Amino acid sequence: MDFNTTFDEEYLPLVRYCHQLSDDRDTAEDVAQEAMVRLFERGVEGSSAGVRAWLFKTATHLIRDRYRVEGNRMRLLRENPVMTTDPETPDAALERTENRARARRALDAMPARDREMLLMRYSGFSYREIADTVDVAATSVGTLLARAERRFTSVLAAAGEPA
Amino acid sequence: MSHLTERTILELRDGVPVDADASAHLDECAVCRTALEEAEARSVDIASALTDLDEGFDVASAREAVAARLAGRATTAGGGRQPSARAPFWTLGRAATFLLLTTGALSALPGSPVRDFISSRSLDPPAPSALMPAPIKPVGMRMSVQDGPVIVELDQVPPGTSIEVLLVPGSSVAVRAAPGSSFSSAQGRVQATIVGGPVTVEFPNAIDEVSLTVNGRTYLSRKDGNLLFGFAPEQDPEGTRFIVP
Repeated sequence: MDFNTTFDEEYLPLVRYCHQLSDDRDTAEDVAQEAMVRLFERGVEGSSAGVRAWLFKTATHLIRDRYRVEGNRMRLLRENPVMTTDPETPDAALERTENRARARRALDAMPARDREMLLMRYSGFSYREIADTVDVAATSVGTLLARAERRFTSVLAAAGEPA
Repeated sequence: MSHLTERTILELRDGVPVDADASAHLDECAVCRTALEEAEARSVDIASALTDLDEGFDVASAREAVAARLAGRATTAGGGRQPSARAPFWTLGRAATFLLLTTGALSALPGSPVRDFISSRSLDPPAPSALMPAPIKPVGMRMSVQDGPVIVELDQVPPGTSIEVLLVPGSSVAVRAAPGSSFSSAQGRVQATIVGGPVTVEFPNAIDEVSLTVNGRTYLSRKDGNLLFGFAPEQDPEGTRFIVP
């Protein structure tokens, strides 16, 4: 497995997933890098899809462990300013900030397992891979995912309505 | 047959195999077809909302950090093991010292095979390690896309830069270029400021509508699966590699 190729193909989707899941840029980068280190240390082999599934599963468990240890402390202490390097207009930047906040609120309103399932689904994983990561039967994924999507979109819609 | 469950609707939407009865029911039930269309629309909304959470991440720095950690762990391998009750005589340090002394002594002998081996090896460049990054490390961005259109815009691309366009399996668009290039993304769109090449652009083969713009000019687009070349200054016979004038 070539380091550069594998890293360049897998890191960005992985760190994005970690960021969406943890809502913390530092945590996302730490966890994604730790997962990559473990991948190469352990010499995990397989198809590209298999390697990606292994990385996401490892990262999911690492993030769960962090939250288990730190509880809500991280969330209370966290400052999550919107960082952007795009040369945006003030209006575009504001809209982007609002959209991001809405999506964040919708994710935060979900139980952890639903959040993991939703984010894995929208990272391109199959129902079987999702089931393997969140420890549910593959036949349950459709039902659980439907509930997760409903919850996400309802909070997203409510957050978009004027107060 | 009663209406399809929400689970079956999602499985149909996501390409999970369902039984023939469900597919047949869908053909004749307007209610379930509407539910499927709603699920598809919801999928687009969710993908769009999640894209809003994307931030730019520095892949090159992360790669260097991981390579450094791997190199560091490789040199301290075994540090986490439980110590044995009695230290063995052949510690790593003693073994290294023994090897150095033995090799040095043998290489001093005229006609020694060790001497020949060392002199021949010393001229060889060090073998690249699979764990160490290559000297030139492109940077890039990859973004998942659900459907088209997918637009890639490359700006400030220096003259002479080589741009290779690939249609690849999967559902993501990717751009790679020389370090120092910067990237941003929005729904269905990747924008990059390029400091140098070679540049690689990957479009998902499954998306029928894509376009590549370089310095404000459309070089390539794809509609209904057909590749169309716009402003194409210089391209190879297969038409997938351009040289920016």
